[in-house]
Amino acid sequence: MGSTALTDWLSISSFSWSLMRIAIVWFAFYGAGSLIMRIGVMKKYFRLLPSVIPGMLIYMGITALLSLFHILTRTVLPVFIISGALTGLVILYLRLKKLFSRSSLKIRHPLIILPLMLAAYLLVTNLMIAGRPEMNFNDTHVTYLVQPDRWLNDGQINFLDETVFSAFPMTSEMLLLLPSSLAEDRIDQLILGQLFELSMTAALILFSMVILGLGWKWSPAALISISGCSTVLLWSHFAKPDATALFFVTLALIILIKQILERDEKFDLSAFVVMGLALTSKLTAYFALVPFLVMWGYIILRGKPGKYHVLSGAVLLSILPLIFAVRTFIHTGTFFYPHASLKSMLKPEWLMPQVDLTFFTFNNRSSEFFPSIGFFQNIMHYFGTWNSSIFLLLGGFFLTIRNKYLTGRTIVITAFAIYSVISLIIFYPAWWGAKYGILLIPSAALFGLYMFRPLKYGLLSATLLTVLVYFIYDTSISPTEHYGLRFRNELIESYISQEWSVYGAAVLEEQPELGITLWMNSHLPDDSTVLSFYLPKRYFSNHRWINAMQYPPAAHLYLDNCLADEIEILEKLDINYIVIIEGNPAPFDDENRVELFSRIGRGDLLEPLASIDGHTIYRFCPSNL
Amino acid sequence: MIFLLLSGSAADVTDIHNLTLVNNVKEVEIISLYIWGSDQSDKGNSWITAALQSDSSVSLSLPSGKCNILAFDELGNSYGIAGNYQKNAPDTIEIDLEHITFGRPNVDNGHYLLNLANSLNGFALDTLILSSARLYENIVIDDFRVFPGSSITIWLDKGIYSLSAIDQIGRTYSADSITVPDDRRVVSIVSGMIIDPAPPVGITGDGSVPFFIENCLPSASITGLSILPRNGADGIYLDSISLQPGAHIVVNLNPGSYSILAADEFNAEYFVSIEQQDAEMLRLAIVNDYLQHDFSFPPRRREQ
Repeated sequence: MGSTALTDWLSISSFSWSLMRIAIVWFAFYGAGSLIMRIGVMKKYFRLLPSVIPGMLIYMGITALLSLFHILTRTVLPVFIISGALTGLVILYLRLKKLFSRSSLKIRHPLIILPLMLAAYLLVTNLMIAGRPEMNFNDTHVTYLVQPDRWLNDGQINFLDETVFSAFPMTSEMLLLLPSSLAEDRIDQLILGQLFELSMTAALILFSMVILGLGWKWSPAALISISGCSTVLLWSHFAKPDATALFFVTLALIILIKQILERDEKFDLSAFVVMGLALTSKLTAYFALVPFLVMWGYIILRGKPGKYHVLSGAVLLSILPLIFAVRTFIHTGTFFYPHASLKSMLKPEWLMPQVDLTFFTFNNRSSEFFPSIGFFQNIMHYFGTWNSSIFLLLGGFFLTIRNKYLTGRTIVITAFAIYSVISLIIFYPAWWGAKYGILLIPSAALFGLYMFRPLKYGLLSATLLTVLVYFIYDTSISPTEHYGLRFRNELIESYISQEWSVYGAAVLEEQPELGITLWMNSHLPDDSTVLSFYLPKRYFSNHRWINAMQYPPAAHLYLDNCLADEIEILEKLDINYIVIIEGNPAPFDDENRVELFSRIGRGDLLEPLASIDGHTIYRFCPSNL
Repeated sequence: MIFLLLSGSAADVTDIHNLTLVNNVKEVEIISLYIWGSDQSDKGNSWITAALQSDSSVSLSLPSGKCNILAFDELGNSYGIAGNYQKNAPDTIEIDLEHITFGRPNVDNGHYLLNLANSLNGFALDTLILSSARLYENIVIDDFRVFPGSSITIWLDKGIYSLSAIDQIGRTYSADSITVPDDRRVVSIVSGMIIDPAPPVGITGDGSVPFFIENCLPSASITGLSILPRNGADGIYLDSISLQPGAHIVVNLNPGSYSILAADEFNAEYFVSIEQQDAEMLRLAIVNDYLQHDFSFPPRRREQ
């Protein structure tokens, strides 16, 4: 048995080791992708595709293949990763050698050093933020990192029916398999997942700049604008698909923008592959399909490509979503569960019963539990999360309004505006929903910088603008949450000294159910099924963990049943244990929905086993009745 | 008692509030109902003489003012509404599972409350026996498991009681001369109340001060124990022991700081640091709270 101190991660050496493993994963993508890109047809039709993208697809294929043979394990997958990484390192070395033999890196603008240092500081401290395991963030612990973890434990990509999110497309989870397979334990896996996701934001800046032809001197402005955007940082440092979707959406749009702005009429299908990956990373990426289609539509109208081009694009765009949709269909009976429009097709066990729980109302941020906000306040908050990217976008557009190709720029900015309006309407209120509408922030910043490029003082003004906005956002007038300089400095000190010294933040968030979860791991049989009436986090559990409110067959417990019906439901689910918060089995006063609650602590049916940190585990004993 | 049905002065009559209480607990009858002033310690007699069926109601005329409502069902659950009924209160109160007193169960055996708190290390109490010269037979409460840190509310008539409590591994604790009602209202059951404490199962170490280590894991024996001085000196390693729940050993230690690591029969580990002072006899209870975080991956579950 191995034990891990919760703060083992807090050191420069541990942080470096984590970063090194993330780099290995990226080198593996690069190595595999570079080999694929040597194929003639790839060079012809996918000129704008960064090598890592085919590399990612290759590794998704490898994981699927290993899964077929039930050898998708923490031993086998790393062999493929290391092989790919070595290939990638060799190819990169050769390319860099060739590059530096032709040109040398000269700093003609010494002043650029200062913003460059700020950008590096932000990048490193962002990574340090991601290097701290987020112990109490629901999404990761409910499903997104749970799936790669369970797949590697089981040696195969299986359908974890206890989480409805298994029915989502899962490009992000499949990519997370790679860093996860290099982890030493579950805390380490959480950290690697977080760092991998955050590395996506750095990678998207790099690849987008290469695609747009922005030289390295534009990198400080790009990094400060995107890495310094606190909303992007917040939602990219979790081990969940937000950063993956951000990565793919940005690259897809940037490829299209490149084609629009440089009037590139050559036949290129890269954007469709990348957008297909975006659509299979996170369902909210479908909203980014609107600007994508607007831009593509403009390219079609302008360039009048052949039918073959249009058809190929449509096929490439839809092939991956279709594969996952078919998988979802096989398991659930509909293609887009749980957002099922055709409920009549849904298999009965996946049909969520209509239960009107206070908990669900509370989760609805536009419900009476939360204050409503005004129209303009909502808009202010939404664009407040964009940090300097909105200024770069608008500034770049208006400063170049007399330049040629205005139509193309107008189309792009219109596409951005349409997306923003949709986000504002669908994801109301913005203080909550802005996180779903951030997918265009990096592309807005990069497109903005691209527009600044032809200006006489474009580089200077764009860089100054991003630095200025960053520091304004670091003050209390920031419209959103922010990670200030003091926080970042204390973070660096903490990593160096190995003593947490960040004011106002705990070294780790507390996960209240961690104690009982780990106790169950060591004291209950491995094949047990646990029903939780409230606690949804299952990441650290070794057991099949069902949440009564989120698992459709279990949600029937909240319907108008008699006790016998409820016992039958639990028996059908093979429930062995029930875990509740002590004295409060259904927070938000939903206790009245479940007859079983009148038997808590009464001995026979629910035998109390243990109580740790305010959580009690009961053995479900219907045979005692 | 303020909640006598009023038939007195006109002023009193205007203060009467009509209240309908509905039993909304499905499939379960409410067998007794108590309503009493918030400032009173006596909950009085039940306001219903016959069981209140599920989905049925009872109408009551009550004087206005803050009061507590407590109902008991046929299963022994209690439903409490404390101090929230006032002059402008609703005409109808529905008793349902939202009011069930999960965390502090009530047991109805009289008018005055006595809180029994489990202040033991690790062990839940499974049986409580109350005896008194005024009782024809003992009150036995054995359908609740009172975990450490939790308490149970027992309503008793005036008197002096003796208490026997049996924990989940069968040890008996005793307390005498518990006066009801009493201003304290809370009696804590502690390990010092144990009857016939078992002697230590072993003695080890050659230090100057005895140190007791007790297995307070209710469902696991301790199979390994390491006591490591923090100054790097040689430690004590007990690899093949079987320290059953409730059993303890004595380790003679010299003053200083120690790290103690225990492993149970399920291979779970427990870690605690202690400071052994000069001549001070310490007692360490190994409890679930000291469970070491083990984040290692589980063995492959489904070998194909």
